[in-house]
Amino acid sequence: MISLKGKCGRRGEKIFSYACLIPSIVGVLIFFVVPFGIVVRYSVIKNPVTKEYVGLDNYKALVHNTAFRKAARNTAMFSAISVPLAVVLALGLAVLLERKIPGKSAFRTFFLSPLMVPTASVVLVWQVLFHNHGTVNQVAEMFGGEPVDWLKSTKGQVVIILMFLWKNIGYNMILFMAALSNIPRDMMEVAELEGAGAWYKFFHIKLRYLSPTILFVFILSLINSFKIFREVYLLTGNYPYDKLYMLQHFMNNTFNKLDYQKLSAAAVLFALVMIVIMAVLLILENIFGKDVEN
Amino acid sequence: MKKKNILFDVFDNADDRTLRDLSERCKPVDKRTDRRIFAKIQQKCGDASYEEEVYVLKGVDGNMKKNWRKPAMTAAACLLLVGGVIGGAALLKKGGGSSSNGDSYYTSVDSTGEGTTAPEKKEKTVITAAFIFGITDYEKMVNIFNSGQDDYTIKLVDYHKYDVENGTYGEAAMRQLKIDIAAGDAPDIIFTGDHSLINALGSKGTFADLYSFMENDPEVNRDTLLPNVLKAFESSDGKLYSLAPTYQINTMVVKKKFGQKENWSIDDMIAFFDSAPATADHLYDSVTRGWLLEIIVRGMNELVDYDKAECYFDSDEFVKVLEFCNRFAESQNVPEDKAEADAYWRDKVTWTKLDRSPLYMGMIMGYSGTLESEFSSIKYVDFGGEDFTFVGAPTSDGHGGKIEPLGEFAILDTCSDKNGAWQFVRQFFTKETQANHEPGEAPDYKKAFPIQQMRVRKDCFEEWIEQNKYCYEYSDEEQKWVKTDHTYWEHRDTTLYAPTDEELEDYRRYLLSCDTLDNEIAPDIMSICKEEADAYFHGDCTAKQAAERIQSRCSILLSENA
Repeated sequence: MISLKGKCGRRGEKIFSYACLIPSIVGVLIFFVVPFGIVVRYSVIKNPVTKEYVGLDNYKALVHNTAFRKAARNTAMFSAISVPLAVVLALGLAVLLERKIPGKSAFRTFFLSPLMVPTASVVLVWQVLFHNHGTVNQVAEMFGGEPVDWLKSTKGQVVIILMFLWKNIGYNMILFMAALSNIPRDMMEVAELEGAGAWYKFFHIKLRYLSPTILFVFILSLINSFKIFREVYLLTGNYPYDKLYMLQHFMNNTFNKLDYQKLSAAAVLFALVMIVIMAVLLILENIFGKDVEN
Repeated sequence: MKKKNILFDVFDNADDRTLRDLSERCKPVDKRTDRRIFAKIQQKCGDASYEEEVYVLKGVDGNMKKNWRKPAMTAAACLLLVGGVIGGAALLKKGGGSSSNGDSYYTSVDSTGEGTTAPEKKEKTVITAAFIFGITDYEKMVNIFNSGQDDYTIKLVDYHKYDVENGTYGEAAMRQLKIDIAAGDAPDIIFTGDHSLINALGSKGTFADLYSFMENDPEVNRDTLLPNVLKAFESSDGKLYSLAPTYQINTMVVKKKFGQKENWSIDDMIAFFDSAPATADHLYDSVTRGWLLEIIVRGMNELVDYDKAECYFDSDEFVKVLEFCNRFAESQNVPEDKAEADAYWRDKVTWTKLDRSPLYMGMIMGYSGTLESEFSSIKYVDFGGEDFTFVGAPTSDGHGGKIEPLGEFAILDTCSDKNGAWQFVRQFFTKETQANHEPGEAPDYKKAFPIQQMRVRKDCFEEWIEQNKYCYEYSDEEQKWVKTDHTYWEHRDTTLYAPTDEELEDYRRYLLSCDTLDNEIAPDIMSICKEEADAYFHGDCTAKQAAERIQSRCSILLSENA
């Protein structure tokens, strides 16, 4: 009798837990699965008017599209430079601020301040700095240098990398500082007692404990690097100079042109690439951080 | 059964909605048909009369009166009643006895012969027509179409309201249209002024080929429409995705003594300016450099190859264009004082005539209904009676005279009844709609679709050329405009003479030789050109750098479309 009651209770609990899951499942379906399904569907039709099925034609056209390839190349180059820099510089600053240095709190606030400034006003400041007659060029000319049209030349990527770092380093730094403070003190004390040097402690202990945070910051920075479109768009519009043309420009412009097929194919391809990158990062984190987590 | 007289004035009591519904269903008839049908009614029932514009039927079953209480039923019952009487036709009189100018409408109905129940309405196919620049000018055409046949109903979709809401000129309307198309809510017919939309969507098979409808159309087809206009609208694959019912020709004009060659290249234009006459003291300030650049870029269709998704802004020719435009003033030197400004403008209109600014830029041709031949007004008003040459906009292909469409129709390929859509669109190209109005008369705005610029029909074009043979003066004796061989423009103190046959033939030949569209350059490309050229004009970069930047940005834009 008791066991039957227990059985009924377990079944009831199961039903109740499934019932509780329904809102989440419905939410995920409505806001993620169904829209993604629609995007996939759009990527295999000729156009939204005729809706004729064309298989992988849109994907084939996309990979041969000069604009897409240019956008992908620029975005990849930007991410490949800016994301590691954002991680390494933020980690370096976090380690630096972990030490007992004067004005530590002021520095922390200083690095976090870009997060509090609205993007539009940030862009205005950067325009003033890097315009053809901007402050940077004026300073360069004062010292006999040649003015550079930063935003309309191959040097444009330097500006947006600087802007990206300025905007993101503070937040990454806070995450690293939090992770550093969570490293077990006894482990560091044992290492010190055993005569481990600063570099050894950093590479063999701190870095191991930081690996999940590094992965998280890396992914976060990678995602943020794709969002640089907003700043570039505000700086240079829909069609920037060659080197500033990012994947988000491509997607935004194809949306404006009603080219939903190209846009959807690009989005699906982009999602696949992101899944692969995430998978590689998770595998790496698993390899390097496994012993520490266990 | 009690018989009583019934006033056959069905609209007299009808509410507005009923009136609108009925007038949409029925096509208007002329007075002659109106009387003919009434004669038939008399013939059939004998006891009918027409009293003060109200039809009176006598001897009709008075029991039907109970069905006539509601205004809508009134109309329906009358349709049936008379349908029964005259054997499948109903006559409705709009305006009633109190109105002196009511229109009559006539429609076919299925007669049951019983006169007790209303006939079932045939289900009409609804065709949606999206208008970017407001629907006001097209409502009459729609009403005529809707009431003229029983198969289709055109439903107007006004996109102009989005412009009104957002304070834009076309942008918000176009954006909403694009969103609707992308959301699968595409209209069946589009009337737009943005040819780049047609270019962008036409290559994706979004629009139907209008040639396919013309093949079976006895009135609107390749033989009745101007071939140069059709060629201008044709896509590279030889299809006609859109067509404008009216257009104008844009060109530059110069006195023959300065240039005999028709349709210049940019080199010809630069050479002309380099060897301008000494009298030309307003050579570079008659127009602004920004305006000139836009005019030149609009005409240089060879700068962009949409099919190959390539552009050639970094060519030496375009660098020359930038450098040439930079010779011109940034703004016109118009005095601030109103009186001085008026004097400036009065003086300016004489600059071409007096060789002070010998190239007339931005000539727009094709207006109808003027009192003088358009040719004569160019010759005598703008060029002081001297012969002139049309030099077009500078291009390398010799097609400088540009056709500027004033709104164009396209039928979407998804339209469930494309033939029905064509039946509506073709109305704008019939002889009736395209007919010229008399010289000296304003366009007939009571007409369903008044056209003031050039017609695309051959016969109407030739008629317009015929009108251009003469000048016109109002005759008090005859109480109308009469043909003369000259006319006097008091405000310009100029006498205009009618053109000779040779002059008119040459003018006609040039107009028919224009077979490329003006402003095929997409608005985004144009705005990039202006932005980068402006940087060059203000000394921020060299012409070569500006051209390279335009090339870089525009090639991205074009390759997105590939």
